[in-house]
Amino acid sequence: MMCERCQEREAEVHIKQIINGEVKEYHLCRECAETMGLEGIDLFPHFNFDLSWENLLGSLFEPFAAKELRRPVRTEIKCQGCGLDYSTFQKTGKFGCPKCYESFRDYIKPLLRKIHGADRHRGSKPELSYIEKDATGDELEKLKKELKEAVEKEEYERAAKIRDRIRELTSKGDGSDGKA
Amino acid sequence: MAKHNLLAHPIEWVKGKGSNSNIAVSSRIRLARNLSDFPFTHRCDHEKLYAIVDKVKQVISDSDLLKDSDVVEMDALDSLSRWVLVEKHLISPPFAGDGPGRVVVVDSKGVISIMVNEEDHLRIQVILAGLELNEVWRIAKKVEMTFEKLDYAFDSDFGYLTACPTNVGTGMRASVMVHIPALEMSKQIATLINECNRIGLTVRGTYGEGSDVLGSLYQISNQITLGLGEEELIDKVASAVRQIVTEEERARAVMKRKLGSSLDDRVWRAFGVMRYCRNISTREALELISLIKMGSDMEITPKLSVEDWNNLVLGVQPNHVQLYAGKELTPDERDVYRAAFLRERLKSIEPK
Repeated sequence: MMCERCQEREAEVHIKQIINGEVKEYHLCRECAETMGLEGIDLFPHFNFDLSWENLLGSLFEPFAAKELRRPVRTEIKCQGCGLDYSTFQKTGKFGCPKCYESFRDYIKPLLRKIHGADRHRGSKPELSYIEKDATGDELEKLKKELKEAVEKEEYERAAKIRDRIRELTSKGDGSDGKA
Repeated sequence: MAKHNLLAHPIEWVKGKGSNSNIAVSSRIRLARNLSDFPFTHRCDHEKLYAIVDKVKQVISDSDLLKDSDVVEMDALDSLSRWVLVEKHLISPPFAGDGPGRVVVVDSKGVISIMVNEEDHLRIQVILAGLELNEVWRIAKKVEMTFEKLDYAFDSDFGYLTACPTNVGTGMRASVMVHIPALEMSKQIATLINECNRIGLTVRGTYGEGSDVLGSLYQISNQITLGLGEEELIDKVASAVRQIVTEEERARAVMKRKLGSSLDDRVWRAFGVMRYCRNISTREALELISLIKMGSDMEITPKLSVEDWNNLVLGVQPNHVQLYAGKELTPDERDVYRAAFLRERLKSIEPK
């Protein structure tokens, strides 16, 4: 197809304009498209570049965007154990049952960092052997799954932390007590 | 008025047998624990509350450490008795007002007390006189392990799970009650509070959260419960308290040098008022008791042992005054009986 303006060069720019249902098509060569743009010919009416650009950036940076933007609205989350929803927790400051911690895990980590300056327990653990064994087994499985997810999402910093924790757990059998 | 045995129960810390107990009155550790199979207390119905109580009672009767304990349903106590227990630091103020399904356990020596179904299913508390946090921790951990078979709610990330996120992790509050009148008089409390906050410690009143400071008694405790080990948290509190004890001693020495006979006069006047007063408020009584304790430590007024001092501090509290009178009293009547109590006690430390 030739450029409809100069009829000399191959058309490389194809513009389809729809204004109030009226469709206009332009097939232009690069030079002509550039010239028309410089001359202020209204090739791109009502085209709000800034707004579109922002949306585009948003989607480009999606994996790095604030967690809140990527997750469902907080109020929709309920504890699988007792049915307490997150907004009620936010109002009362009290959890409903131990499973709330699991259900709200990712949301309460920033909260705990605010309260304690940390989100990870470093103190003593239950010492009854059966609990420890089960907990470690469960935790290992969970961590392996998390590690896979983190690598898939290319969250390498998180992946490294999970890997360290797995090492810590699996080295317990070698006589290490797991303390840092 | 129905008086329960528990009100006459011996309490170990009152005896004052611990290091530095003239200034570091008592060391206390509280551990919060929950059972993994139950909602937190505020979401438990009667049936669940009593199911927890039954499980806890079973463990107590099987335990060598705890089998001789007093196990008392809060429902069996009238309001006055409950508040006497609060004044003795055996239960918390909110626990005194809670409904049925609550039990308090006190061991035979009066070292360990356990609240069942407070904000958390188990609130294990151990108190000894003096700065003895390491020994207190050893005992608290032993008690805590006794109940471990009930299957604690524990998460490898978050540690011991609690109803309130401010207690999660270790579930531990380590606190030391300090008597620091000289730091107070030399206007150093604001600095002390700032310094403590800077290193993650809190300064509270005599009866914990939101309570007034009376008789120059302050509680120093760890603010955070997550991210540090129990020993690290304990070390922090203990080293701060050691420094506070040193600072208080220094402030007393400076005061003695600067004020000389006017300090003697102030302390002796406190002694005189206590000996002859006919009507006195809790606040004034505690201020005077604080002065004569400092006076005794500085060898101005007659020797007041830590045990006698602790009994004075407890004895002038509103509910102890009613216990002393043997009947319920209006606030005005209490002030009269409080004065009578002080006059009687002061006779035994009359100057020679």
